[in-house]
Amino acid sequence: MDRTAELGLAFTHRNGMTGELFFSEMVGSGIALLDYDNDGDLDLYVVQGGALGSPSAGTLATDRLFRNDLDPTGADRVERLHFTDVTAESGIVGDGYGMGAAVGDVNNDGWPDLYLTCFGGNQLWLNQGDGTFSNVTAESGADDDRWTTSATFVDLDRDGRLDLYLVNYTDFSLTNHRSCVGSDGAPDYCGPRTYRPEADRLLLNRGDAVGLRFLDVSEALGLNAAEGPGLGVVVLDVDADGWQDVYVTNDQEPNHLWMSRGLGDDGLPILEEEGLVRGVAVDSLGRPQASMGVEAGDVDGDGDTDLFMTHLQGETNTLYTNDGQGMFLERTTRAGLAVDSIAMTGFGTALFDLDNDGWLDLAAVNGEVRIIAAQRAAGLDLPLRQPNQLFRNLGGVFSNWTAAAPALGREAVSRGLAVGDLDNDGDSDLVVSNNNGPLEVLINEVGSRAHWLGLRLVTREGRTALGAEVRLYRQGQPVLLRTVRRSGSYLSSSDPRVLFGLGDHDAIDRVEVRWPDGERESYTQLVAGQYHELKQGAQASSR
Amino acid sequence: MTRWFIFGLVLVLSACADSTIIPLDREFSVPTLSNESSLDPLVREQYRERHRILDQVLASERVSDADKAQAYGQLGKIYHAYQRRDEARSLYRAAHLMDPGEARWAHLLGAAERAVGRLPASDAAFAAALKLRPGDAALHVYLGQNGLDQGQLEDARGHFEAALLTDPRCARARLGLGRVAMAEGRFEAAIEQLEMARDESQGSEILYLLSTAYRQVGQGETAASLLDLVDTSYLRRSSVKLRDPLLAEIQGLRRDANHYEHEGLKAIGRGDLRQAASDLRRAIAMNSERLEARHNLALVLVRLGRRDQAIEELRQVVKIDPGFAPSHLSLARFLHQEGELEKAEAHYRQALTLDPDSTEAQQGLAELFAKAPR
Repeated sequence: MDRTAELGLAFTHRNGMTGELFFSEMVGSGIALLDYDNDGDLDLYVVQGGALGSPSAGTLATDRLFRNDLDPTGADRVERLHFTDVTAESGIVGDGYGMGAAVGDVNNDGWPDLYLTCFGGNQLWLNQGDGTFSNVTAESGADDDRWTTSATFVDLDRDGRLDLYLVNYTDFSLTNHRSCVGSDGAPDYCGPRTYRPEADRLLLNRGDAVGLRFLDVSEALGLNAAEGPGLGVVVLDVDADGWQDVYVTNDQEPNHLWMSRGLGDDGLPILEEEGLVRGVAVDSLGRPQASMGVEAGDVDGDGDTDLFMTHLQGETNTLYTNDGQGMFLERTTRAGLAVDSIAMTGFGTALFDLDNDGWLDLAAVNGEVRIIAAQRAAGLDLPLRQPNQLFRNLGGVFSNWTAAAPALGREAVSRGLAVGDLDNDGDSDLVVSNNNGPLEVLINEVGSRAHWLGLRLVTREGRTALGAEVRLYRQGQPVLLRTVRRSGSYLSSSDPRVLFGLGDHDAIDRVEVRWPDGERESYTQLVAGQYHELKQGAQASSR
Repeated sequence: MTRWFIFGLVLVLSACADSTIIPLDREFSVPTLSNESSLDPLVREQYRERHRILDQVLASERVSDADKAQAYGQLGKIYHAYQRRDEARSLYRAAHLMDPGEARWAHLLGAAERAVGRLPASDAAFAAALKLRPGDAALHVYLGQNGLDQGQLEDARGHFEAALLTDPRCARARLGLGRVAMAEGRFEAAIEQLEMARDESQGSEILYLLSTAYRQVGQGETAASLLDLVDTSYLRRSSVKLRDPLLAEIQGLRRDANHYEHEGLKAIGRGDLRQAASDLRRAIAMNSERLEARHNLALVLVRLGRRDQAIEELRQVVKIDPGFAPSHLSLARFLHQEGELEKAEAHYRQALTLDPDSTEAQQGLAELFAKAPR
């Protein structure tokens, strides 16, 4: 049933296609979940495409910011969960050909800011704390006119200021557009190798009391020498050394793992690309794959962070499990994730505890990149549609549960996926962006049946503690590891709060936090079934 | 418009296992070629011819089931060649059911089912083919790979071992045994199998997996040296070959970039430069990474008097692969002739760096300095 009116989320993505089969039109766009007004619930920023080619392609709608007006006292879900389009009031004019969105508090004022990646110039919007944003792209030096896909904020030099990692794709532009054909000679979308790959970019935050300033250190840190058609990015601490590492998925090229090695004499972070030697650049047979979306999480419950990524039809999606030392083995087949992904081209993906049983389940949203002849024959406007998928984690081995969640299995050209607890009921909901199609919001009705614990972690300065690792200990139960993370998936930014699924057991012994600066703290007497705010150096408070 | 859903889980899952070959239902119909006008003309003719033959066979009253199977199967191969696997699957299935004593239809059905991830159905088809061709090494390898992908390690091992009984030098079977051992965490055993595989093939799969296995047993230096040998390029990497004439035939049916590049070279050979340019452009449109095709197209364009286009094509080559020496050399020569001496020098030097023995590059540089001393 279409309940758009009740929910207040009216959004349809437009990719601006004209029949020319421009490479950029099938890439899609993403979503960001952020509490822009700091009222305790997740608001929604949805990235729009745009016009491509001639002006006759038309003027298209812009990005939208939807405020969550969650009313916890509402009698039913529709009364409780409602969104209002506040784009105009916010001052944000996301009118570029949008790709993705990253969220982070770049000036440490306690308000989440927004970075928008585009096919064209990117934008940094500073949250003024009064419901409005201001465009500080030019004066902050955060612009990049190359084709940026994903981006993420990460404090790579541990100076308490969020730096910005930009994933760039290829040098495709409307002026170097090429006509490509499929294997049967029919016109089709080009692949990434038709164009030159671009290098990623790292902007160090050197802002001070005078103003916001980003310093491009890509050349100095060796990023420019590592070109790759990048699409996804996730931040994780691969080797548990307390420094945040960056993993980037490349389309038909080996993926990159930038290991943080502390600071050099010049005060710049030291990054070393170690994807191949750590076993996460290529699949178990040494083959680079067409990697799109990526997620990080403790899939097998052994206390370290594993990596999962989505791939092109004909390849499997891939799971790399961490041995605890930061070396990985591909375990896709053993985990039951190989076979069902072969026929799909995956993009957004999420590891989240669907049923709050303590194991991270998996969603992958799909959509082809090459035209499906039967769909073209049927007259579909964008003949790339595939169903999305849901896999339930049964203790380190996954089972395909898509059939049990019919809403996920509908065919669309899905691209972005963000995860967050939109209705604050203690389980993870999903937001899916569809290329040239309507936004989809999937409200989880399963997780809240089990026990849970929600945590919002903030640093001493009051900033969301991105990168903080949280371990939950219970009598007779395995330790659960979760990380404060917005990055991952594809072109999207998710809820940074930590949700622990506790299953049938609501007793919690303690929670241990390793803060981004390495400090460790332990918390007891946390009550299940609610969110708590953990502030570094202070007692927990309910929220 | 936004869609939103509540996604409670339905606890009763529908059965999704598909382990038998599904009989044709009453509504089976021959696929219709839907996008004829957009197809490459040669491809269109291939489809049309096979559709025409099938139509004739089905219209005839005195045709054996084996002949009908042949007509279905041959049309299936065309769809298979162009990766329209759903159509290929239904046609192969029709062929197999019409003529169950013919192994190739079951074999091809197994391959088409595998390509779309329907591994139980693929197993059933390959097993049917194996009954008709006991000991076929390729079929055992496919069944072993299906077993591996489904986590059925004992089955996989049995099939790889059976393949080696028929063909003791089958590197893919040996690689399969190495993968089984890796999946079981028996890294020493994996090394043993993979070293034997390496004796037969230097495919990147073997080298990479071997590197991983050595890493797991603590032999980091050996692992690193193997990793240096691994080619991680997406298109040009070497891989372990498996002799399968049936699938090779499918590849041969494709009127793809390979085909057009070959036709282009033949046209150059007979002096038909316009046709050569057309064929080579077609090859490049189908696969923009065909560097040799691009290079040859540039040479043809020069002979057709289109020097600017030729230079642009060569620039594309060295942009895609800066290590492609022949195009640096040609580019240098053409730029030299155009009087763009600095650019010519840069490309001569690049060609010489890539191939220090290149007398043409050395001569080019010498001529360049002779004419324009500094």
